[in-house]
Amino acid sequence: MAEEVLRLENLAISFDTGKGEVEAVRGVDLTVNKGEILCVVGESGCGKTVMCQSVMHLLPRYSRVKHGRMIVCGEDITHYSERQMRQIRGRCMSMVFQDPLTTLNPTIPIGKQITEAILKHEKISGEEAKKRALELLELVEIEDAENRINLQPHFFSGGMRQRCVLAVALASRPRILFADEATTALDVTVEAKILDLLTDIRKKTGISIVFISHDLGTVARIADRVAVMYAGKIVELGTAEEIFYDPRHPYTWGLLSSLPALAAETGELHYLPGMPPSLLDPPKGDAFAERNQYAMRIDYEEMPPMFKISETHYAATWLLDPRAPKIESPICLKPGSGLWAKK
Amino acid sequence: MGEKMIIETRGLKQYFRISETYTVKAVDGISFGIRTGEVFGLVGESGCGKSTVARSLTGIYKPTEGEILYDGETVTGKNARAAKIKNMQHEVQTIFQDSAAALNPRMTVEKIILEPYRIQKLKAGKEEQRHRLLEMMRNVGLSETYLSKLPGELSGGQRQRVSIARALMLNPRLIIADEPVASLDISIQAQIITLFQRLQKEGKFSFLFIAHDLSVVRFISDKIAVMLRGKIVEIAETEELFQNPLHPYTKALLSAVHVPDPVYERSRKILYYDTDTLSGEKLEEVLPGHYLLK
Repeated sequence: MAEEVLRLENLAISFDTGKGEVEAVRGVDLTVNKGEILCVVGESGCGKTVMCQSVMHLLPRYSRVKHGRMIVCGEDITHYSERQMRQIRGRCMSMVFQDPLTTLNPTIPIGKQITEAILKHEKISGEEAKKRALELLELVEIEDAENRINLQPHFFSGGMRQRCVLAVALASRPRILFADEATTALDVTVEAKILDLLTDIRKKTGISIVFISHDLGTVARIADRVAVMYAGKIVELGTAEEIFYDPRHPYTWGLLSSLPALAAETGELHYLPGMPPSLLDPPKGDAFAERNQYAMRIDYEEMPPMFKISETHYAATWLLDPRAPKIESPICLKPGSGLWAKK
Repeated sequence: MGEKMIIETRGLKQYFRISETYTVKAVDGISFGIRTGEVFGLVGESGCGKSTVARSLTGIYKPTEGEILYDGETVTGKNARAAKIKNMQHEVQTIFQDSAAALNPRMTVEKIILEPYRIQKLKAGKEEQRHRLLEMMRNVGLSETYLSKLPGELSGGQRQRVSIARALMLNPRLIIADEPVASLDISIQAQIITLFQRLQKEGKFSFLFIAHDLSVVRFISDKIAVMLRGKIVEIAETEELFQNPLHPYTKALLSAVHVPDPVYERSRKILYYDTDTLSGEKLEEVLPGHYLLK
């Protein structure tokens, strides 16, 4: 059994707004094992960011944990105070955001921003901290780190800034790293380098990475497991192979077939009609029913449970119920072909 | 697709003088043409000057050097006729990446979409305007209920639809779209691309599609130009470019395109190209219709 570093049990997060209660996360069960890269994929507003920020306790005051628990490195941190969280953040887990320029302080040299993070968590001398900072910059593959350590962020390109942010996040040797759309703002070639860097860091440090993205194409390169989220729930969970080669949920089919990389091969670009439902008043049944061409009557009445397909593969759709009509996935990819073929 | 060029640039340069000693050469002598009814993709990484090209073509910037021809007639420099420029401003429309910034937050959707009529001082009756407005709303897939909404009340995809409706209002002959889908979710992106494709087939307008995502550009364009550091390094028909890329930078870009196939992705080698080594002055036709910077 792999060692668990993060476990979410039936977690639900709500925001109390002027218009009423917004149910951003509606009962999520998820575990992250040591040294694994788990990718969370979904459209904007599906709750993937809220889920991660709630674990970090970074959500605003008008949010609350409706029910459920979150367990990080064996500790139940669901109701931890800000003071207790300060011990957990950094030491146990840290986070990288989409925009590296707003994460870094523009007036402080990057070396100082890294040593600051080290000294907050460890009682070592400034000299030693600086040495650690240099090592970290080398870990994130910043060339000529010795000369660059005293430069402010604006001297760096977008990709290098994101590397610096990673160095800050890794400074206190966390066990879990949340990367929230960490490569979305970068150019494709730079993005590929950062993705490779993440796998590399995982290999060197054994860290677990929760990588959030809206693009299934991006995560194929790094994911060990993929969780597909829709309207505050995980609708499909499986290993990368299971999600890409044997997707079961119609929403995963929709996400895959709206990738232009596939469309260029088949000449047809499919898309999911409509928009995700408002979580101010979520639908009673399956939230995806409105956009699901395979929706059945029960989809509008009752939420589907998580059906087990294999030890690692789960999907929440009534199509997997034994009484439902058998529907073949409209997309089929042969492993390693690099090409998509329509059945 | 016609043979005639709707818009053409010849040695277009766009320099920005930052200080006495420092000049940014955003666009550094590029020449290309878009045929009538053609979808022309322009790709490149951030900072390569692709947005500057869009802005020069629409007349937002005055070119430092070189000329722009519209319908075979120059619209830059001393010899340009005012009537031709006016004509071009009427017939060329733009769509930008950031729909939140492109739409006035205090105008309703109805006012925004009707604004081209007002700006171009077109005499059209209330009836006709209303008719056209509703037609455009249907065309881009927005219901009438959105007419009285403000941009802040719409989602990113809906806002981009409003921008598209506004651009289509005057039956343009050329649409310049600068990263129109870059800030959208994958599923919404697919909706907007299919919309573009349908509208382009129906409206038969020419289309300059600027993007950094090669798979998007591949899907929509007839022809693609790759830009790097203010220069076009390669131009070819879409499939020719993908099957037979010649410039090392194009190869590097293509190697970084994501494919939703984990087994393939993990083994995929990404090529790197040191952009400092870029050399070459002129585009040369190395294969029929395939141009390379040499």
